[in-house]
Amino acid sequence: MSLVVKYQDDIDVELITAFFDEQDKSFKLSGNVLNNKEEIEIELKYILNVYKDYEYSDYELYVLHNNSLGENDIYQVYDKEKSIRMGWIFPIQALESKEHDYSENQHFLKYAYVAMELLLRDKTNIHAKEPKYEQYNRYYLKDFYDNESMILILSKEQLKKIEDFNIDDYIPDFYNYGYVFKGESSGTKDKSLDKRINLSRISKFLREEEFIFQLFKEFIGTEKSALLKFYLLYQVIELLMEKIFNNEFTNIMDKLSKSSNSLFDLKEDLGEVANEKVRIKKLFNNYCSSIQYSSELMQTCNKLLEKSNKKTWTSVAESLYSVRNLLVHQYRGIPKEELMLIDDINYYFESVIVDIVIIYNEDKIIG
Amino acid sequence: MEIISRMFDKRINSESVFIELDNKEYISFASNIINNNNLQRRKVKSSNTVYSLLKNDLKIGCIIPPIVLALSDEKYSRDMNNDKMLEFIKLNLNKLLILDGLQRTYNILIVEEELRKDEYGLEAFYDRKMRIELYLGINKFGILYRMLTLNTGQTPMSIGHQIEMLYKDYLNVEMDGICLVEEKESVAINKLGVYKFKDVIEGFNSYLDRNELPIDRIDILQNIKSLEKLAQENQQHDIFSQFISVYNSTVRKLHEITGGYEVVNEDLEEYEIETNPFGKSVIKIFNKSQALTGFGAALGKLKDFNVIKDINDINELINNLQYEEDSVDWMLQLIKTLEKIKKESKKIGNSQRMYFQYFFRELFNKESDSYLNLNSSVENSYNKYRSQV
Repeated sequence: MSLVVKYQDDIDVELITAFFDEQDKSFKLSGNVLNNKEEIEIELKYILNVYKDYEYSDYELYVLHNNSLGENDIYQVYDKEKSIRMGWIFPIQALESKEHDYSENQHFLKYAYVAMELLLRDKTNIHAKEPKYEQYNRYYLKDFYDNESMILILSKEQLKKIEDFNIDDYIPDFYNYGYVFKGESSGTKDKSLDKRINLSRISKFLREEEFIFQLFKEFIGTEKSALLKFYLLYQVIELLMEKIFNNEFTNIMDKLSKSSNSLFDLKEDLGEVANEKVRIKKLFNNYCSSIQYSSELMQTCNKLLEKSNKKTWTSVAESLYSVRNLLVHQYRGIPKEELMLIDDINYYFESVIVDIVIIYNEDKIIG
Repeated sequence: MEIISRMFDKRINSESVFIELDNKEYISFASNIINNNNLQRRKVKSSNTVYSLLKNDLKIGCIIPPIVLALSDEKYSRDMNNDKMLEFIKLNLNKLLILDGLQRTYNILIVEEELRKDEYGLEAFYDRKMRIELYLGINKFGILYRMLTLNTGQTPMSIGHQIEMLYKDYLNVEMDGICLVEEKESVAINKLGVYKFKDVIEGFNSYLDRNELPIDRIDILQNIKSLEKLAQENQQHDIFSQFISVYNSTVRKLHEITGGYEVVNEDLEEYEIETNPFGKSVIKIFNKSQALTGFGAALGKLKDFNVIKDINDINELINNLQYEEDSVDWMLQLIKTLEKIKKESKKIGNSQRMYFQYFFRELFNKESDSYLNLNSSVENSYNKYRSQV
């Protein structure tokens, strides 16, 4: 895998060799045109100060997107729980400019050089574009990667300190900061003020739930309608309600085997846990705690309910559940001019979902 | 060296001399030429390339297309006979510029090196003839223009490169208190009148293109268009030195207004400037490429809109610049604005250039509300900039 240029319009040439020319202070990439064995070479200037302290093979690189950030938005990335620095995340423009605040920062520059090496070698085939080959033209990163690319570069050494490290576990919290893997991000709500991003992993109880990763990696950000976004986000609630049912059911069975409960009690317990409303309340009150923006979510839900002549509620669980029912069963009953309220709901709903998937805990259930 | 033919090109006012010489003679001055051409690209890496084929062909004895050189020296005269001309050329070998054929020249030198062990082969190689086409003339712009139009597609160079080549004589020569230095020199540019050559070239390009953004692409059509524009304006006088002279006068005036003040930490705190300032004094702010290109683009646009008739009109205007509060407040507001831009922008360098372009337009446009007023220009240009992004 490597970067590719188009030779004479239709022949793909893989630029498999890369080296840094100290004299020219530029990266030279070369490859062979298969048919005539001609070798072509392109050049990318490197304008930052060179710090070759690190080996690129000791680092992992990912490309994310965040439309709301600028060249100066360069952050160190930490695992919140372990307080371990994993690496850096910065706009791709930061590699080709000396105008940002980190252009003289040695720590950043060491990572920047490695990032450049990884981007130009592109072993994981993440490049987005394949430009035409022109012999004397100068090339830039933007010829191969989107301008909006955010470069996440992580130290393998540091990642070893995190048990069962998997980058996917951080995807929901990345989303909260406005970083997405695909599509458009809706921007960050709490932009980091101290040049550091503290990322929480998804709850250990949800690390096998493929849908959640798929949601944040592929679906969210690409959908066009507010309604669809709500449905997609609500799928997480559905998923968790099912997990809660299984968990509660198991607990009930355990209780049954330990003490001789009456059949009547058993029937009542089971009936209760089967009830969707009961489960969604349990989700917010027992399986999660201190979810930021839950009161804002409740308020925006209630606003839509009110405008649609429905009852409003005093808990986020009930108001959210009620909105879900409204959208599924009586969408046609919502006044046209109030439909944009769904966007307002989604704005908080997505943050709430991120918090839920991080906090969700089946061990210490309150109450 | 033997002159085979001489022709005069009326379009570019220069004489084209066709010369035949042997490889040995060419090699004797070729390395000098390469040193003169430090602005051109380096040797292309050659292993399986076409140039590797050329090397082998040269050893066998192929005839390469004439290498095109230029020599601009005022002492040249059309009246010279061939002998006098040859003498003149030989005296000025160190001033030759390659317009086409740098890679061929490299290959000739490599072949010489590779044949050192083969006395017979080397001798034969030395004796073989080659041809050069040498342009003699005073108007360097014309020579370059001709090369572009005759060689479309072959060896394109960025317009920046071409203009660098044209004006390389200005390097290290004092022009009215102005000194242009090359990047690699360690001379401090934080003095009045001292600028990085490359930055001035970029500023001048911005004037030609009416665009403050840096040139990052080679586009033959764009090159020709810009050169045509230059042809319309050039009219035998040197627009380039006018440009840098006017810019320098403007910077001098601003420096005079602030008394050369350099901001200190207390100032930064007072104005709530949190990060490293763009520059701490007029010299350090306005010696940068962003300011030069903004100025160039602004000047070009003002000329297009007929707000100014000539670059030199600016010299009058700068005598009437005004400021509010104290003479330094406008500069601190400028630094603060540049910090705001840095925090918001997707591509900081380009945004800074755009801002400076609006700044100078506001300052020198008599139709604007901020005409000749430094403080309002700082503010209003930021509003204009924001409306565009």
